[in-house]
Amino acid sequence: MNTKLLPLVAAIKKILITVLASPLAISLLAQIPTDSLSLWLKADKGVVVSGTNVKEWKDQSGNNFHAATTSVTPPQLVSNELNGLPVIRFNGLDNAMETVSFQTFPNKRGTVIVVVKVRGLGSTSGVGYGTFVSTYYNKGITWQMGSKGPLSIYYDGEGSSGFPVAEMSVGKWAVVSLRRESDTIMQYLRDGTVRFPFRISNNQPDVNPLKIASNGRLEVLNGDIAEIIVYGRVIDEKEMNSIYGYFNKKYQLAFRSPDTPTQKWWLYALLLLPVLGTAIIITKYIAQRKLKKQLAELERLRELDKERQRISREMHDDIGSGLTQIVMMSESVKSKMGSNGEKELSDITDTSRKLVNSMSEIIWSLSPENKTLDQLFAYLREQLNKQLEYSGMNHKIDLPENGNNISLSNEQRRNILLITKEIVNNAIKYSSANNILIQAEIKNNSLAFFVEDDGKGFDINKIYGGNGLKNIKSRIEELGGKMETDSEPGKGSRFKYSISL
Amino acid sequence: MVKIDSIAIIEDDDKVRHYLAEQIQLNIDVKELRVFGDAETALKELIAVPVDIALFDVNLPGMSGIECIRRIKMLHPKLQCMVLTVYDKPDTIFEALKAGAISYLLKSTPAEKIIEAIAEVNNGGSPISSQIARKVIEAFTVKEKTNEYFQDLTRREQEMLEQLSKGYRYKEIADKLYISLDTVRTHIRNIYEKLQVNSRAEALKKTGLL
Repeated sequence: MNTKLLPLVAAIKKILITVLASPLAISLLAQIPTDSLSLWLKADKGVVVSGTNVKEWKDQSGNNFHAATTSVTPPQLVSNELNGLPVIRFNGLDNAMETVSFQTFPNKRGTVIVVVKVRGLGSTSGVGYGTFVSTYYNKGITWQMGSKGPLSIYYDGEGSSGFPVAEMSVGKWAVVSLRRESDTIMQYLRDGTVRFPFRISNNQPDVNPLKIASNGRLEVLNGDIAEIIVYGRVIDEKEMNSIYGYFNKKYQLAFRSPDTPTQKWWLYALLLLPVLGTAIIITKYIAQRKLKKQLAELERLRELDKERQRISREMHDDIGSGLTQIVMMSESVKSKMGSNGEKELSDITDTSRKLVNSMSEIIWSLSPENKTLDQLFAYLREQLNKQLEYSGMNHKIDLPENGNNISLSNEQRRNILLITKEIVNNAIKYSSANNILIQAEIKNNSLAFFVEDDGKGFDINKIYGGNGLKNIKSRIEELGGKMETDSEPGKGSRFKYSISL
Repeated sequence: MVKIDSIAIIEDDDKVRHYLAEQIQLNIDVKELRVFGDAETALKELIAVPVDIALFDVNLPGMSGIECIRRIKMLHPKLQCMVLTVYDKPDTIFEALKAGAISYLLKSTPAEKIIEAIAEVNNGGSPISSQIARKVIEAFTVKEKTNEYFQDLTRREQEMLEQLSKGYRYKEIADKLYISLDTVRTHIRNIYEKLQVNSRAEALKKTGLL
């Protein structure tokens, strides 16, 4: 050799040695870890076919846990499908394969890795579920990993039902794995990252065949499998990396990157832009002034509403927390002071709690979702039940049930609520009644309430219970409604009030 | 006295925490009562050693009470979670239910009612107001089912929610539908569980990551 080239060759040799010795090279050249390797099926080796019909898939791990086709319709060997390599295709309908018996998750530990592409929903039993791998014991399925369209699903055969563990990209190759690292915790990994840890039953699978692409029932995979690797131990991050390295090199797919939006979106957006642009300009030109006006008005209202809600929310939050604190403090003082001042402290806590309750009511009436009559009735039923629960009175609440979508204004909601609660409250406090009836009726565009009790009644010519009745009357008048009171001492009380809708 | 093995309180306000701890210890035969001032610590400790019932303040510094519930329920699905709130605001409570809570408690609740609420949870009950029932109905009436793993309600469960959304009490509903109170409670629990599963699947679909 030319002496001038010798140093060059030496340098190249040196570089080569360094590169070959580096971890990168090791991961590129190395195969997969072999310690506790139970099963290794790869579509590019050991597949026995008749034409393209797959008959056997021979285990490359050295354990000879070979898989054979168990269905009448065999899966297909599709060549040149993934980086020039073949894959085994399952039809989502009636294909199945099965290895000879061995134990998955011995000592309740193990790792299962599958290189798979889901092509679509399976067409069996309307469930759309496709199995990657599963195993079973006498009573049924022990565990099953698969997908239902865009969701990866794990099924735990002992009692619990299948539940989704992560998303799955249909139409894309993925490396999915299960890693059982404790008796009851399974981890699900996809494309190199742990997606989801979840709880599983504390079971020990028996020595049984591993079913491929089916679970023995109808849930057949509609997709392709390139490789299946099963370990009888937990594969740590470092070793997983080397396995991914092996996959990346073999299949030339970057299994580590998360889904990125396909470039097609950009293309379509770019093509549509000029077309859209022209359309927009025309519409804008025609409707410009009108739109502007409407938008400005809506915006103004929206801002007002937002601001109103923000203020009320902050106010309520502050007041509510403050009142809660008062309750805490009174209770703690009560315990320190014993019976001394107990009544006053109880009054403080009672009042504070009532205020918190009033706040809740205000929040209810201001909430834009509670507009209709139906919702008022639902809320009234609950509130009145709460009031009357420990009142010692038999009560009947009879409010219309049929769909009433009539909208009420804020004042109407609030006042009807307050009036009804006040009248019932008075009855509880002063009437000593045994029975009370609260009834409502919708007739001829008006809402009428009727409250009757069989208590001791009162003289309606006198003002009763402070300004209670007066307040109630003015509230009703505020709503443009009418109120009638009928009572005599010893003859119970009847209240009728109505507003027009 | 109600007997419960272990209870945890996660609340950052000292006064509220002491008040609740005091009331619980006085009125419940509880073997172990654990208290935490923040979600992060509570999460670590409760994942390691769970309790039967845990009370979470919604507003915590750092991780929120609701997020904490979401994470704990993934590894300890049987841990019953209650949220502590100032008001019974349906929005907040609904978020808590979706995350995995089974009940809520107002912080200012008088002692007897606190114990009652905890005892109810212990018995398999789960309170639900008409407003919350309405929110649950909405959640199950999604216009576009973006999630193929969506669990629908049974006819019975739908009926139950209808009645609840109208403000009828459990007893009234039990009578109306000719079933027992226990059955009503079980139905509500099942509805909550479906709500949680759907919410979890929804979240997974959206982000793909946790």
